[in-house]
This record gives sequence, structure tokens and C-alpha cells, in this order.
Amino acid sequence: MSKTIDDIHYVMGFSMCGYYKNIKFPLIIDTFSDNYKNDNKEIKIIGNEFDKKIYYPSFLDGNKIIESDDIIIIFNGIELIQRPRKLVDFLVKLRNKHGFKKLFYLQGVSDPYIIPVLVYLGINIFDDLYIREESNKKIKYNVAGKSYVDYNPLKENVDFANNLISSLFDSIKNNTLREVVEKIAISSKALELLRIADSYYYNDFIKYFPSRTPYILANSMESLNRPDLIKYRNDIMEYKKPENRDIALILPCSAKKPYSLSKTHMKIINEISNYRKYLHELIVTSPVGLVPRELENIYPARFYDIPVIGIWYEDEKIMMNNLLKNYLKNNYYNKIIAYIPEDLEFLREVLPEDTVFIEGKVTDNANLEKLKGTLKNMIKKDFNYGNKLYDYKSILSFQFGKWINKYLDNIRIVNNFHQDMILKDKKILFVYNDKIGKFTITKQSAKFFLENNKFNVAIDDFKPTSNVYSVGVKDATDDIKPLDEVILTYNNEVRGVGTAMMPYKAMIDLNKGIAVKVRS
Amino acid sequence: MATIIYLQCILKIMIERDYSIHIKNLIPEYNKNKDVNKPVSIWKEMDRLNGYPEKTMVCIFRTTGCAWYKFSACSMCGYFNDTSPDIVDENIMKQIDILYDSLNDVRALKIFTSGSFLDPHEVHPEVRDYFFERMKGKIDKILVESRTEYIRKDILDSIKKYKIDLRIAIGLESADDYIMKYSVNKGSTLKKFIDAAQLLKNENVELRTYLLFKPPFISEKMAMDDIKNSVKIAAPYSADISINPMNIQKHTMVEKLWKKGLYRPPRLYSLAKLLIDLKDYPVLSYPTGGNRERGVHNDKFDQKLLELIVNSSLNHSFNELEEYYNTLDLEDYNYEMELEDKLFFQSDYSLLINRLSKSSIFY
Repeated sequence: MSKTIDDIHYVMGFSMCGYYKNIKFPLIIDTFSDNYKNDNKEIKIIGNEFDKKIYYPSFLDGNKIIESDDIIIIFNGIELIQRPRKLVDFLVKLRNKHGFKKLFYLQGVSDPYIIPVLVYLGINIFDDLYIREESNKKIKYNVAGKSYVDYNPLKENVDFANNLISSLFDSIKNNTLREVVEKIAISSKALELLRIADSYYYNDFIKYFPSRTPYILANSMESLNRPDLIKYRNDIMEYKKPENRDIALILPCSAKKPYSLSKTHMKIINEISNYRKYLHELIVTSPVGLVPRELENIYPARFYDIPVIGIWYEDEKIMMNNLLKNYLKNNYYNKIIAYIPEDLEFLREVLPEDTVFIEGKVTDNANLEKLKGTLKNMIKKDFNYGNKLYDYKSILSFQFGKWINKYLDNIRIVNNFHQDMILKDKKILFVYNDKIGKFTITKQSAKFFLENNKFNVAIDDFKPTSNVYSVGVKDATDDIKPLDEVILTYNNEVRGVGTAMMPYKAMIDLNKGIAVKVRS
Repeated sequence: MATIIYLQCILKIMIERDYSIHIKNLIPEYNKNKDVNKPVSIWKEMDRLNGYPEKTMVCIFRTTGCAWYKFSACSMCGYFNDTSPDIVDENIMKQIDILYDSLNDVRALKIFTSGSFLDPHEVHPEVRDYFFERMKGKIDKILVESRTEYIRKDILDSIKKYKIDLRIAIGLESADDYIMKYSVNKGSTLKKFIDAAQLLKNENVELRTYLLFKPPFISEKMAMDDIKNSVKIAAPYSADISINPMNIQKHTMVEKLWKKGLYRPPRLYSLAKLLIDLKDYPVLSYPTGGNRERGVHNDKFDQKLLELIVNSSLNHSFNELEEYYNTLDLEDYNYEMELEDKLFFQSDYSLLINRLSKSSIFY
């Protein structure tokens, strides 16, 4: 239960939304209101006082911000944004230095088509001066872009921008901000900023990016470089396949997720069911790249959509080949079969020479017979074969890290109420939620995390029941992203388990907002 | 040694070190190919040194330049472009001779150097004497420029003996020491100005005070307030006050800012308004670079307004200017000024917005 409206506070990546002094942010300040004052004597922004003096441009002065207890003003926004690389670099450094303790106000830049990416880059407060200037030039905003009208459309423009800001609030709360930022592609400058952030500052953004979002709509090339997708692909390169699956079967993706429930995959699976335990099925696709069958339920593999026209863009081909090549460096197969349509023919570049290719329509009966025949000739009775337990070990390792492997000897699976559980010595260690492809931690397994100081939220001395607010968080390990499974500890004693709702840094820095949802 | 430390302390109060160094670094190497025996420029223009409009000769002597250049420069000043390190006394004397030959019937003269005419290191006393010796009888009224440092009784006495009516121009720029230090980088203070101005008053030498309209980093509205305040402070000491709207000169801090879209010269509207509001004081303005992008100009070209500003300054009668000003539609201008004043970081905001705005779809 939140006590006041100011307790509402959400963080997604670099972005925050919530209430400050009962004012909702992200926010566009009305510069003709009481919240904005700049006269001969003082500068006062939402009750925060700042020195009235000459502020030099960036080339003259390293000190480019003005600070109060709650707000940091980036006063030369209009100068910085002329060089987008500099602005992104500046904002990343600012976030790294100040964490989530203060609100960032970027003066003078509130182009509504650039606001979304600026919010994504961490700006919380804007002013309306830019909108006033453009309105005075009779420029009007709407969903299609800007147009000239024959009057000053200030009110409509302010409403337009405020509606947008309100959507950004919701999308931060719902972890869908990235989608919104990508899809509002009216301004090339906005996309420049986004591409710079993706290309040069991945390591900074991924620290705070949620470990899952509701759904990825990969409608544009920018989606390929989402931090969560880059992270997934990096993790796949390091992934260790489940034991005993020594023959790889490369398959195309399907529109329906998980893939195994699609008509195409069902037909293939049905035909080769006798051989599947020997096989490691690898689905090749964009934008996720490569999905081993046992990971098809996890995020992002099950939670994306992409326009499919039967042709891949060069960027996608390069990405898929690169990923497959690196994955195969870390995983050895006795044999690889590529059962693929012609549009995946480019995979030949990275597959070993002795790969068996069966190309064409994958649901074609003749092709299926060919596949079956190949498998029949290839697989001998004495071959190793895999099982679900090995698969789950791989998933656990993928979700929590390789350190978990040492706790996974002598485990077994029990299905209870249609949920698979991992047991050891009759104690439940993990529960698998196949709807979202995620294991949850139990109090039994929590001690593994404590021993290794992983996904550990240190709280004050209390018994967590429903929500742990960030004010009650003392420390958190830097592996925690929103929606990760975490343990709650006090003085090296496990107090509970739950799901993180903020990045680790925000939990530590903030005094409001829900940090962890407790699992009872 | 003690003197040096004392000087350093004084400088610390008057200058912002990093800013000064940055400005100093913009000064280019001297162009040694300049003809050291000819003045930079000679021309005739109208002025009212004697209280009425008359033809006045203007001559810019090439010298070694302002002593301040050795440390830094003012943020708007590019006159170092007209100096030469090789100048010796004979060169300036030759320039004086050329001026002498061009005088004809003109009886009023304005002498500019790219520094201070009264600086004994820039124009040696012998050369100064040579100058006044030659002008004696030819010229009734002379205006020379100087920093406050050289307004000294001994120097004034040495000139008085030539019995030529003298007016000295001092660039106060602003009566606000904060602006002087952090914006203009003048290396001077209001107190130094007042001390010098008081001495001139005591010695019965006329003073023309220069004010800089719209130094960098402050809004135009703030700059207007600064001019009004400065006029009120300088008026009791001044025969007249020349309001000099910013003119962007080469290799200066202001030029660097302007090229980056971080400075916009003042609007003619603002200059007109200042003259009208200050008409009870002895103000005048002959804008350099008026109606050009490097000088005072409106968004919309207005030749008449500029002409009225110059003419009303010459005649010290601002009625016609006021009448014309009152017919103008100033709504957009006023709004623009108000928005600009709300920003606490100054730039050519409208220009930078335009650049950014263009990145969006216009349909």
C-alpha cells in the first residue's frame, strides 16, 4: 500500500516516472507558471533554488550542470543536442555519477518527437520554451509530424506534448518504453540519439534495462539493437547446450510462439518424434538470432514479433551468422543437420562443411521423409540421448549464471499442479513457470544465492510480506535488473524471495517506489 | 616583487582566469605583411563632438595594440587584427603625416588606435607630442580613446598645452562588474572608470562613455536593463554616452559563440527602444554593421529604423524615431524577448531550434 502519491515511482532503464511534490513526471514545466522562475535575482524550479549567474557553454566550462537537493539542471540542452554523440555521452555519465537520486531537467529542448528518446536517455523534466517558440512560428504537431497552420497553435501543441508525456509515464510503468521510443520515428535526430545509445553505450544501458518486457515488436531495424536482445544474444554465445544432445537440428522460426505450438513445428516434431531425444533443436530467427528448443519459452524467445516477408535484411543475416558461428565455437555436435527454407541458405557460410542440408519448404512431405531418412541412417541405438532434467539444468544456468551448476547435482523433477519443480533431498529448490519461461527461487535455494552474493537485496530488519519499498533497501547486488528473481536478506539471513521491480541502483538510491514484490 | 603579487591579486578580482585564457588563445599570430607606414583606415563621417552634427574625420592608427592583449582581450574586441608588433615611432609619425595631408577643411577629428592613444607604451610621448604639434591650429576638437589606466594628470597636462579641445572616450561597456568580468573580460571595474571620469571632470576634459549593448551570455532583455543602469551611473560624468550594439569581429570569443549558434546580435528594435527610453540622457548610437548578420539587426530587414537611429543620435532628437517605433508590430519580438529571457543559458535559441526542428517530418 502506498502511503502518498509521492510513493509512486517506477524505473525502466535510465527512465523514471512518478510524482515529485505531487507533480507527475516526466514533466513539461509551464514556464509561465509558478513552477518556473528566472528573474534578475533568482532561478527557482518547482521550489528548488539555483544560483543566478552567467552559465557558459560546454566548450568554456567543464561544469555543465546546476544542482539542488532534488534536481539537476542541464542548462545547455539546446547546445548539447546539436552534437548528439556528446549529449548521449553526457547523459550516460550523469546517470552513472548520480544514479537515481535526482531528477534531470534538460533546459530548452522539448520537441515532442525527440522527447521520448530523451526520456529513454534519462531526462525527467522538460520546459515548454521550445514548444512556445515553434507555436509562435505557427508550427503544429500531430501524429504524422509537423505542419504549418495560420494561427498560433500553442494550446494544441502543449496538449499534444502532454498527452505524449502521459503515454511515456505509462510505458515506463509497464516496461514498454523502448517500444514507444522506437516507434515514434518522426525525427531523425531522435533515432540518431537512440542508435548512438545502442551502439556505444550498451554496457551502461543494460545495467538498468529490465530483464523482461511484455512483448517485443521488432518493427524497425532499431529493434535489433535493443539492450535486452543484445544481452540475450551475448548470453547465447556463451550458452552450454544440455548434456547428451549431440546432434544439432537447425530449424526456421514460426510466427506462433512458442515455436513448438505452431503448425509447422508440430508437423515436423510429429514426424521426427522418435529421434528428438538425440537432437538439439536450434531455431534460427531474427531479431533474437538463435533459440535452442529448451529456451523457447523464455524471454525474449517467446515474446517477440517481427514483420516477415520471406527475405532477411543484410543486418539480420550478419547477426544470425555471427551468433551461430560463436555459439558453435562453444558447443560441439557430432553432426549438424540444417532443415531450412531457402531464405536461410546464407547459414552455409558459417556451418561446418559436413553439415547435412535439407533445403526447401519445411512442411513438404518429401522433405520430411528426407529428414526422417537422414536421421534414421545417422542415429545409432547406443548414442547418448538427453532428457528434461538436463534441459532444465541448462535453463537454470542460463537464467542465473553458471555458478548455479554446482548446486544442481542429484536433483530431480516433480510435476505438481501442472508445474514442474526441481527437488533435491525432497526439498523444492526451484519452480518452473513455463508460461513465462522462468524459474522462481524458493527459500531452500535462496541460500545458494546468499552464499554466492547473487541477486541479493539487503533490507532493513523486518519481515517482508507483500511489497518491499526502496526506502527499506540497504543494498543490492549489481546483477539485479527489473523482473529478475531475487532473495531478500538481512545480515546474511534470508528473509524472503521475490521479483525485483527496479534496477539495483534505483533500489539503493531511491526512497520511494516498490523495489521488490515479495513471493509468499 | 610585491608589486607583481599586488597586480595578480587585482587581476584575480577583475578577471575569470580560464575564460581570459580561452579568449587569449583566439588571438591569431600577427600579420606582418601589413603596411606599417599607413593608417589602418581614414574616412569622414558625421558626429556631434561640438554639440551639433558636423563632418568629422576618423583615423585609425596602426600601433602595437592594446596593452590588455598581452594578457587577454575583451570578448568582443577584434582590433588586434589591425596591430603590428614591428611598429616604431617613425611609422606612426608617417601615419600622422598621411592623416595631416587628408584633413582639408575638417575641424573635428576622432583618433582610434587598436588600443589606448594615451598609453605611453603604445604611443610614445614623443609621438603623441608630434601628433598634437601637427594638429595644432588645423583641428578644433579631437577625440581619442583610452583605457582608464592612462587617464592620468601628468598625461592630461602634457596635452593641454596644445590648447586643442579634447574629448576622451572610455569603454566602460557595463557598470556591472560581474558582467565586465564574466562576459566582457575587460579587466577593469566600475570604480576604475569612476576614478578616471572624476579626474577628467576635475580637469575639465570631456568624456564620451562607450557602453556595449548585449555582451555575451546574457539575454537581450537583461542587456537592455544593463544599458539603462549603466547610462544612469555614467551620465553625471559624461558629455555623451555612445551605446554600441555588438558587432561581431573576427577571431573573438563572440565570433566563436556566434558561429556555434550561441550568440545572436541585438535587435534594432531593442536599440531603438533604449534610445527612446533614455532620451533624457545624452545618449547616441552609430551602429557598426547595422542591419547585417554580424551586427544589430531584426529578423525582418528594416532600413528605415536603422537610419532613424543614426539620424536621431546625430541630432539628439528622438521624436521621429519614437513615432516610427510606435507604428511597428512588436508582438512577435516582445514574445521572443520574453522567451529568451526565461532561459538561463543564452544562445541564438531560434536558430538552434530551427536546426533541430528540421530533423522532423514536415508534411
